[in-house]
Amino acid sequence: MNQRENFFAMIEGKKPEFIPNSMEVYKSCIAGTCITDSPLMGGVDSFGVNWVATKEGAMPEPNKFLFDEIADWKEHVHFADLDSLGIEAAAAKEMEDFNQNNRNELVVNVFSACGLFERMAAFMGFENALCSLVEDPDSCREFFEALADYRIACHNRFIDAYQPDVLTYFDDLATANGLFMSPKVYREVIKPSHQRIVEAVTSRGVIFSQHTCGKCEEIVGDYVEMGARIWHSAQSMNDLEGIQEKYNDRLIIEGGWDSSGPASYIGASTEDLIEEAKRCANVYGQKGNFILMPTLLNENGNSLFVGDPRLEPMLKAFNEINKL
Amino acid sequence: MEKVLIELQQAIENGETQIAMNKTKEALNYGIRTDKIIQTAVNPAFKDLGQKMFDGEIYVTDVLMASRAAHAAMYVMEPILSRSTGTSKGIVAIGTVAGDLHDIGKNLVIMMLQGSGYTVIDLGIDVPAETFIEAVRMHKPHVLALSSLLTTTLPELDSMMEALVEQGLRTQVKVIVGGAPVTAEYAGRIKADAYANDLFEATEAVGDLMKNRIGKYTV
Ligand code: B12
Repeated sequence: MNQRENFFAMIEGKKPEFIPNSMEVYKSCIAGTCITDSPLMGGVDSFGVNWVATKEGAMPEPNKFLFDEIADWKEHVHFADLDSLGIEAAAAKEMEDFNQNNRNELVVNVFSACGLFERMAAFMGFENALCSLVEDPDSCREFFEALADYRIACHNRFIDAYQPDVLTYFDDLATANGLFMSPKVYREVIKPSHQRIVEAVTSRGVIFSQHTCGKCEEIVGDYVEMGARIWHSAQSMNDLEGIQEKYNDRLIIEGGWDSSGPASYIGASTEDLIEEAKRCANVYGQKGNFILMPTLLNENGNSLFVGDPRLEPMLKAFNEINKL
Repeated sequence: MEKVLIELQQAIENGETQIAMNKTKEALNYGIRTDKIIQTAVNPAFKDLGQKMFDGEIYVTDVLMASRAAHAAMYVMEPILSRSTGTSKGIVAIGTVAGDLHDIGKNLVIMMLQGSGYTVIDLGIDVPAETFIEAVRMHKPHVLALSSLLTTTLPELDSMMEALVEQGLRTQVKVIVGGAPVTAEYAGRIKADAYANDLFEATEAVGDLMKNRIGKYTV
């Protein structure tokens, strides 16, 4: 089986031949979301929020907020006219060298960054955003509904432009120790709009992958129920084995890597990385519903963008022990 | 009279800012002293919250709302607190190390320390070693608290410790470190004085450092 066939075997609940890894199974596409949601290289986004680039990645300029009260969102939030952004041209450029043969080999995965909650935090800061969820849930719901409409429109454009197999939607809702908000608050305030976003993607025959870092296991069941088939970044502080046991072939766990642990420290040796990859393969890989996702930052930044000499030998070693 | 303190504690735990302010005023009207209010209502509220957070019963939103309520209570007491000298339990200078822009955790630690009666100097995010050094010289904090959320900025903690030694300041200030990738072992290796895993532990640890006590979080 090639990467694509092996991936779809997993999705269809059949037995894959090997444990895939996120660096080799996907053609990941980011140009669209860089225009509509978060400029990778920094700069002002389509909502007027300034992003600062750091060598590890970009984030909204700290302590500079568009507004403080979520009740005021309508005065400050203006959704861009999607016709004017050049999404299609950017997508075409990104897919320039990707031909039908590549499509038969790999899985096309379109990223959609800065989800509902993160966007709210980009406007008003994390602390304000979190307090608003509790203090003014009605305004939050109204804001999320409007934002979901925008995101759905963006996703439809991405789907038309890229013809992807998977769409990975990013929203960080958790810390290393637990959710930012209670599951009740998530379900009452965020989930209704989140659900519309998931359904709009799956209704077009595209696989929905949900990215949430940190310990978010309390709402992973909600993701599955809404129709997500992949949970992305699935970090090791969650009970990943229990979750794999529970959802079996209904959910693929993509992650496993201990991104705050010794294998991610600066100066970790190639052997440390191989060790971590092997641990993931042994502990999470055996049931055929796991994709290894190494998260590696180094002195120069995020290895995804700046590369890292340790990755190749690590993947080579992983691919020697990943047969099922 | 005790009832009002229990109600204040409850209001803080529930994150009810207005009630917390009212109950603090009521307590002051009864003639209850500010140190008693802090000791029997504010501190126990945080202790309870710490346990609940540890048990996974509450979330960051709850802690934020509680901190806001505690701040409101402190705000009501502020005029009296600042009149009576020596009420500050000590000075803590805190910042997120160079290259790292995460600040939610640091801000929670600050809220908690302030809520517990410390004077906190917030140096912000992406703080270079020179700024920390300057702050130690200028403010003479009892404790220097360093936060790092990225594995790539962990080496900044090492450099900070070295800079303190080089500048001859190491014996003047206790150092506590924290943030997701930091561990007690790491803190020990770089010869920090303490490590804490969350805002509640951090406050207990700072309390120990202040009193030169070997505590649970000393490394
Ligand atoms: C929220 C978040 C963000 C927000 C930050 C908003 C803000 N204003 O801070 C945003 C989205 C902007 C962001 C940006 C980035 N992030 Co980020 N982020 C997180 C996330 C999801 C939660 C962190 C958090 O705020 N937790 C909540 C607070 C309450 O917890 P805490 O910070 O751990 O703090 C507690 C304790 O640690 C302790 N503590 C903290 N500081 C101190 C200090 C002392 C002295 C003491 C005693 C205790 C203490 O007490 C606190 C309260 O209990 C983590 C995931 C995770 N697993 O932690 C990733 C995470 C930290 N981020 C990560 C990355 C890579 C980034 C980016 C580089 C990339 C990106 N574009 O996403 C940029 C950072 C750019 C930069 N140079 O700094 C990685 C780091 C990986 C690594 N190898 O180190 C993580 C682990 C996610 C992951 N799985 O990859 N992030």
